[in-house]
Amino acid sequence: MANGGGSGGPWRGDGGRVQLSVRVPPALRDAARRRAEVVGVPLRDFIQQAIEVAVAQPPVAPEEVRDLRARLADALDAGEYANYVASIDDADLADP
Amino acid sequence: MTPTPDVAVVDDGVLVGILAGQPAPLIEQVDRVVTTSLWHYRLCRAVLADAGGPLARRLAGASTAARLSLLALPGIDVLGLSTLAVDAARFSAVLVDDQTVRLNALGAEAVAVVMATSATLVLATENPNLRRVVSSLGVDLVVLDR
Repeated sequence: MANGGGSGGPWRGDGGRVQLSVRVPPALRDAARRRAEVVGVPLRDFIQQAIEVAVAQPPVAPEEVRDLRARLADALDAGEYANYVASIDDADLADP
Repeated sequence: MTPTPDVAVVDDGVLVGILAGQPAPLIEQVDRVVTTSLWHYRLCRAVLADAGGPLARRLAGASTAARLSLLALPGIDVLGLSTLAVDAARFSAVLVDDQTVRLNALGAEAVAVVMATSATLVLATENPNLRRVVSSLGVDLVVLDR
């Protein structure tokens, strides 16, 4: 994993620990618990890894993501995603 | 009227609606949304790789970082072959009414995930083979109207 993920990230050697308290919606907490269980790590480690990945990502302007989301919605309305799926010729990935 | 399931296993066509900010009403009401690794892969391939055609032209110019941000699946679990390979292999050929119905990896994985989660299968497009198999297993299947 790039910069900071997993157990060998650069943040591990900073020494000491601080408490980070964040209130989140119950559904997000439940989803984090389930995902941590699926990947087989304690919730605490899962959250730390998620934060490490997040801070390693290049910043993205919210409006850029909103624009892309709008374009995806237009593609969906125009049937372009369905056409993409229909064009897949890999036997194990295609719809029958 | 379709009763609201507790858990929905959704295909990539349904996922696109969620990512586009247009989740189907049924999806908004379920407690848990799950997809499979191969449906997730198809979606990621469409958004991150040049899938060609009108969809690629529609997304042209968007940065990789923005595409990755768009692909975050908050609150959606991705399950699949990495943990359910044995089950999926069993569902690659299923005897239904004395006929063997064969599923590709995408379909077999979907059946394995829907059985593992006791979910309703929610698809954007009809899939006759998948319908035959899940019906024989007592699994509900919903095809969304768009």
